[in-house]
Amino acid sequence: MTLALRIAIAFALTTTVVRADGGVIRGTVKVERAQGVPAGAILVYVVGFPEKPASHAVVIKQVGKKFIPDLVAITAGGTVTFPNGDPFLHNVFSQTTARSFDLGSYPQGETRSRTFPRQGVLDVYCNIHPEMNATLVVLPNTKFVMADANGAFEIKDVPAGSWSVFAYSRRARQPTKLEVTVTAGAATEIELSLQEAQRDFKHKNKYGEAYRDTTIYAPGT
Amino acid sequence: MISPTGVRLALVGLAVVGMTQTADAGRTHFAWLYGTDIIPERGTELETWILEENNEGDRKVSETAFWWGPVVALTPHLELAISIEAEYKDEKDGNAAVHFSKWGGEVRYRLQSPDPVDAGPFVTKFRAGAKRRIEDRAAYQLEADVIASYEAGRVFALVDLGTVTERGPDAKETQLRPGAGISVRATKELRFGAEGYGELLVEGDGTNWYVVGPTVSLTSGRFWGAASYGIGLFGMRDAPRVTFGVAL
Repeated sequence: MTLALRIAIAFALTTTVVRADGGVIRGTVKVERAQGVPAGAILVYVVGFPEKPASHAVVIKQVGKKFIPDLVAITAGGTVTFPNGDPFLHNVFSQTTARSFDLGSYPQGETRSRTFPRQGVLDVYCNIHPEMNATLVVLPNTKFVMADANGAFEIKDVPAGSWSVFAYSRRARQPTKLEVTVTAGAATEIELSLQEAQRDFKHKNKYGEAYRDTTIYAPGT
Repeated sequence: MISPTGVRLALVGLAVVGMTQTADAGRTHFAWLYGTDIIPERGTELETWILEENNEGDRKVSETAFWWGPVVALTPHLELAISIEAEYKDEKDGNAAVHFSKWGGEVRYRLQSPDPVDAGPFVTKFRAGAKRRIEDRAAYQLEADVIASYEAGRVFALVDLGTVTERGPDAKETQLRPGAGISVRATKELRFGAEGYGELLVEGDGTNWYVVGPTVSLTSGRFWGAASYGIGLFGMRDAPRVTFGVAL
C-alpha cells in the first residue's frame, strides 16, 4: 500500500469521527535551548483531519533583507503573498520537492503570490540575498497557532476525536508529537517539550550553486 | 547542528501525500517545438538552436542552421528574444556556403500563470516574430505560433501550430509548421519522448516535408536542452535538431 493511499485512508477514517461541536486544546510548549540559540516562533498544529483553507492570503514580507515572519503556517490550498518592502529587487524561490516555485525578481511595492495545494514543509529563499530564509509549513487544516513568548497556546474549535498535536520551530532538533483526545465542549490540557539547537540556514542558490561572495574588495587586503 | 533533512523526515504528521514534482526537465521538452514554459520575471537566458535538414525534396538540398540570442523575461508572462541566424545551404549547384541569414526579434506570451501549479495542467503560449533577411535587404519574414500543452503526472503533451511568411522582391512564400510531441519524465532532470514537425507550403516554391523522431531533454543547474532526431515521413531524409539555453 502506498504512503499516499495509507494517508488518504487515515484521513477518511478520521473525518468520520468529527463532530460539529469542537473542543479546545490548550497548554504550554517548554523549550530547552542550547546556549546562544535565539528565541524564535513556535508553531503548534493538529494533524488528522482536513479542512478548507482560509479565504484570505497569508503574507510573508521582504523587509531589511529578511522574510518576516520567517516561520509561517497555512492550510493546504491556501495562498501566500510575498510583498517586497525593500528599495531593491528581491527574488523568492523554493526548491523543496513538495512545492518548488520561482517568483522571478520584482521591485519595492510589488507583490507576487503562490498557492500551496499540498501538505509539506518548504524552505523559502531569495536568489539575490543569501541571508534571506524562511520556512513555510503547509498543514491539512486550520487548527494551528503560534505559541506566545511563554510557550502558551490555545487551539479552539478542534473537532472531537483523537488527533496528533505537534510543536515545531525552525531550530527544533525534532518536532514534538503528542496524541490527544478531544471531547466536544471541553478543554484538553497538554504540555509539549521542544529542544532547540543552532541551525545553519546556509543554502545554495536556485541553480544549485554557492552564492557569489558579495564582500567588497578592499585594496591592500 | 540540526540537519534540515532530519527535521523533514521527523515531521511525520506532514508525510507527503503522493506529491508531484513541479520542477521540470528542460524549459522546452522538445527540440523542434516551442515550449509553454517561461523564464522567471527579469531573468535572462542565452538560447541556441542548431538544426540540420538533410536531403530535402527532389534536389536533395541539405542545410545546417544556427539560431542564437538572448531571451529576457520582461514580465511574469512575456519574454523578448533578439536573435541572429546563420546557415549553411548546399543546393547541389556548386554554390554551397555559410552565411548569416536573418536577424530579428520575437515575443512569447504565456496566457496562464508562470507557475506550473497555479497555472493548472493546460497551458497556452503565443509567439510572434519578425526577421530581416541580411543578404536581401528588402525581404522580411513574419512568424507566429500558438502553443498548447497539457501535463498529467509524468506525461507532458504539446501541440505547436506555427506559420511563417516571407515577403520581398524575390520572395513570396508562406508555410504552415504544425508540430506535436509527448514527453515523459524519467527523473527530475531527464525526460524522454517523441515529436513530429514539418513545413507545409501554402504559397511559393519549396518542398513539403515532415519528420517524426525521438526526443530527450535535460536540465542541470543553469542549463536546459533538448535534442531530437527527426526521421522523414516525406520530403526529407532526416532532420536532427538541438535546442539549449543557459540562464545568466
